[in-house]
Amino acid sequence: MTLRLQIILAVVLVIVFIMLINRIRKERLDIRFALPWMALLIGLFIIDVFPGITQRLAALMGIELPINMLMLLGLTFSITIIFFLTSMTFNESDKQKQVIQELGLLRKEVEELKKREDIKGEVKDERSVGDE
Amino acid sequence: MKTLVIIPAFNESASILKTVADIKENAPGIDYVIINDCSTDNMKQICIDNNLNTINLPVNLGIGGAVQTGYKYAFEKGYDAAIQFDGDGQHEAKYIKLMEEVLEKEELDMVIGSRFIEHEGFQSTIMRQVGIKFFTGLIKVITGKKVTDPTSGMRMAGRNMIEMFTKRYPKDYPEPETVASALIQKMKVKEIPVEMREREEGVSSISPKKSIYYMLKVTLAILLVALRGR
Repeated sequence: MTLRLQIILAVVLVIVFIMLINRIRKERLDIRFALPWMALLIGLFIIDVFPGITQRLAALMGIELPINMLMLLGLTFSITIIFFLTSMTFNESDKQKQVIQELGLLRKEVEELKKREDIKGEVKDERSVGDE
Repeated sequence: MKTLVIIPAFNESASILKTVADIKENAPGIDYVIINDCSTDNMKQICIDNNLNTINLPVNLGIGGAVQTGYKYAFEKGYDAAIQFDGDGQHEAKYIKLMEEVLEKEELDMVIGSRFIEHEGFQSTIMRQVGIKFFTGLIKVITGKKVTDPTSGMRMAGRNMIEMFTKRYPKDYPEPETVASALIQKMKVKEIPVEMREREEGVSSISPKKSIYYMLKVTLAILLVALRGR
């Protein structure tokens, strides 16, 4: 890897890192979910500064080309994150379902109460105006 | 005994009045609730104009979520039994009273209307019957009990079963799975013979393309019931 490429990558990684922090700062991303991404960025940064690591790791894992190992690790990382997102989506949609059902039931209750109030109001002939 | 008929409805403004009239005529004195699953037609207005007992969901939940809303309503309002009733003309309201009687007399948790005890009325297609037989066998292996029509949508749930449904109810194709779940928890389930009609309106939710998904999903769900023990 040439020094030029190393510097370009380092700059890109730093920019992405700042964007990530910025998102957390503006509360558009939870720290809990940002942590794996931070770990990834830091890991990439270390590899960028010490490219020798990949060669040694690849040899250790019995993979001939470091690039293949990086692909494998990248894919594993992505699939892991996607898996957790899938299961999170399910959890969220289940919670959402419960809220929607509760809302439907509550709205019915409120409408019935209102109707009963209206009937009472008509009988007493004075209440309904104040209750609007 | 207080029984509630749950009518899940999505864009059924054409048939909803007929369905309610059928219940009022053939199951007198039994309450009903329509779950309007955020229909995009004028369902809501029709229900208001005709003063129908309706729960309007603010967002479309799909059949499972809509029916579960009905069970939650039944549980909150203290009903002893609840039955799902589809508005597509397949089910006949005259069976509601009968099922209620059996449920009460024999202190059951669930009564299922089965097409395959006396083999009368519309019997579904050959392919579907094969699928249904498969589920009958699977449930028999897992629970030791025979259910001739595990896919029947005509099912009345007692208080225990209503409570169970408020906690967990499958999103789609709930029938075979929930029967297996009830049986494995030693709940009392009984089938009575009924006749069903061929549907008058709409198409089955199980198209040929979906039938593979249906078989896989329901099979897996039943196996999971066995794993979970509930």
